[in-house]
Amino acid sequence: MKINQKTLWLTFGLLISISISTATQAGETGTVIRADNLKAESSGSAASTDKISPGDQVEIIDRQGAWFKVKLRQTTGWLRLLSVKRGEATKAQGSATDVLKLATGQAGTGQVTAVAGIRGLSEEELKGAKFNPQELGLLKSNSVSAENAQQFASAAGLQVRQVEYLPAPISPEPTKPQGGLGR
Amino acid sequence: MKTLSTFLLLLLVAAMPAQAFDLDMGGGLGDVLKNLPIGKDKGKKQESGSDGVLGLAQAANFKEFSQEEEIKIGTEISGNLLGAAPLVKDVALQHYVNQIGRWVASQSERKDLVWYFGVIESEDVNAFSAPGGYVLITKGLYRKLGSEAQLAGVLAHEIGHIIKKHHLKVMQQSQLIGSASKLVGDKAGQGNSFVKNLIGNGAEICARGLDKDAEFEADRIGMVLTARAGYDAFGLVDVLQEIGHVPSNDSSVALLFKTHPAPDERLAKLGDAVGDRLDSVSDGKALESRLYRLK
Ligand SMILES: [Zn+2]
Repeated sequence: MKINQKTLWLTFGLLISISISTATQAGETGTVIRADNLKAESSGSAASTDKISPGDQVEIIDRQGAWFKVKLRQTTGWLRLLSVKRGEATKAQGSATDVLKLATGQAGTGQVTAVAGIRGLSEEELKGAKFNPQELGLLKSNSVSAENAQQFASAAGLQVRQVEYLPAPISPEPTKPQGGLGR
Repeated sequence: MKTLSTFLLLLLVAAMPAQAFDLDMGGGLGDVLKNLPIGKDKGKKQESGSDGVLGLAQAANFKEFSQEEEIKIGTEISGNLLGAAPLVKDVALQHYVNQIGRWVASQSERKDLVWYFGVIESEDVNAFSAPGGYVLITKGLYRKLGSEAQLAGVLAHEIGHIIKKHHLKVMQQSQLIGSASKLVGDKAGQGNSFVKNLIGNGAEICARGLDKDAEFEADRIGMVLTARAGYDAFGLVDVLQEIGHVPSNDSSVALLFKTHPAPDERLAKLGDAVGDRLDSVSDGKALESRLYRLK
């Protein structure tokens, strides 16, 4: 009886700690993916306390809006969200290269087809798909009006903000269409 | 003369961006060439000089789809996609996703379109868009979401493809345009032969990729529309970070990774584009608790 109760409490405690850690991402490792500055506060105008370069490992302590609070080489500071990728460098880089190969077709199409098709939407399933008027009707019947959507947004306190579209970044080498006709 | 037009045709094909066709998809280029108007009336056309291959190709290059045509094409594609994966039969879920999607779409310059959003029965991690206002997200991707802002970010990326007419541009580039009047004359959906010639077997176009720059553009638009709608602009970034953790050999992401650049590459490109530009809207809402949970 005593042991059971103890186990119960242990399980309970474990559950709490799991949910907290997923919420705050405390103790999670991050990998720097672009050169940037470590800031004293979560603001672009805050003082820079250190420089970071791709591959640097940080410990993610918290997230606030566009910023991660991190620990880098024993210093705590803030980094822009888009300068850090969550996860370990070695693992992340390994898979990223594989993914890149897949995305650029370097991995060969045989491989892609081999992993697809076991479940879900493979290319074959998409090609062989038959027009389904009932489902299309259902999709259309679910559409909501702009007014309805606005009400739902207001109910959660969402407020429209003026934000300009982002220009394409100037890259040193323009991205060329991948692959070629001969492949 | 025949050799010349064949030569010109080859020249045209060679000049097309590789992304317009994925030769490995099969059916693509072969069908395209068969269905080209020039292939059919070669005998007549080649005599009239300016009306020949180049003339047609030029006309095709500059042809803009009307909104009516755009919607018909999107309807055909979506109807086929739903044939491969039907909607999740949860009215509350579908209604919820439509409210979020419509709100985000309302922040774009194409707020006057009728927008349709749906969650489809598939454990794949993916989302699709079709011209004219159709957006579908798989149950597998929905399951990975942790907040309404993340859902908004995913839908906003797809909305970006639609407002920039990315799919239509691929079709235009691939010289598949025949007579637009025929398309408008035909009944929408169901075996519309012109649309079939244009997009292959409907949903097939979803398996062909767009070019990388179109994807990066959709990511940038996605963040902006999400921010305009009042959400945490970084919802899409969260999702990309999450997807980046799925092993690349996992079959659930095979199609997504085939048709999109790697998550790391997308994050890096977004980082270059965003910089400090979204600093003024850092007070957006994530709305974790309002995210509709799958049954
Ligand atoms: Zn996309």
